[in-house]
Amino acid sequence: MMKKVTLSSRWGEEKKVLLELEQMLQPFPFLLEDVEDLKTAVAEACLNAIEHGNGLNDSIPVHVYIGMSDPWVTVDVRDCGQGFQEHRPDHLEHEGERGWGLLFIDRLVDEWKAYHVEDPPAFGIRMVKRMRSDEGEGWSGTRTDDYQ
Amino acid sequence: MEQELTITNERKAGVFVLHLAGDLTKTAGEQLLQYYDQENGLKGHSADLLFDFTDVSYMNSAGIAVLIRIVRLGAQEQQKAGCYGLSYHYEKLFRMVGLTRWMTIYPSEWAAIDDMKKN
Repeated sequence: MMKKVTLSSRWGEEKKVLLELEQMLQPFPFLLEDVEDLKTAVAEACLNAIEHGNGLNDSIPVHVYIGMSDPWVTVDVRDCGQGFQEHRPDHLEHEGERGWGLLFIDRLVDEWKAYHVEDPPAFGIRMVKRMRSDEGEGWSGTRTDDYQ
Repeated sequence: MEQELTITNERKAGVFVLHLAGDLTKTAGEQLLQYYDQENGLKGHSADLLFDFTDVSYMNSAGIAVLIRIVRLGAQEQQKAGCYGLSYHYEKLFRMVGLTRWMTIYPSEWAAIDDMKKN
């Protein structure tokens, strides 16, 4: 199961992705905690892409790819910026707002990485979250293609 | 998409209760900061500050950053801060960013005011 969502680079657009994500996750009996954690991480990645990646230029899109493959949900957020040096935020006092977003991403998903794509040039963050079921079982999903 | 933030306040037992409704984001946070600066008696040590998040369904890091700024400003003037109406998820985020160093999380308005007026 896979979905692509395109956003304009302006405040509030990240909520479009959250709605799509909710609709995709809704049929499955996931723990609410996992759903909320994933939504916050995705929102923060989108905000970073909108503000820092695309400089709030609403003619430049942010592309979001959501894939589900039992028991993982993978979300890629791509902007047209230069990206940043990947680091693991740990000292809140020394982080700017972007660092706060990264701190949430780092703490709320199981894995994440930053990467560059060459054609067309883009900077992306891939987040992977292992979704737990509140029924104590796995859920059905289909394998997604590798986006890169 | 963004739900505009509305802010109303009332004074209860010497505590300013700020009822927030809508989204707490960067733009809403700036609005909240402006409200805090301009609303008569809110800034400074005349009363402690209690945030009601019952009707806030979405917050992001930029909104939380402004909140931290406000409670730190208040702390410099011995103004205590508290909040109630938080979901488990946002309580977790508040703890994650260290907001609970400056703001106490209460289970209800009654519990908050009862505790804040004692201290």
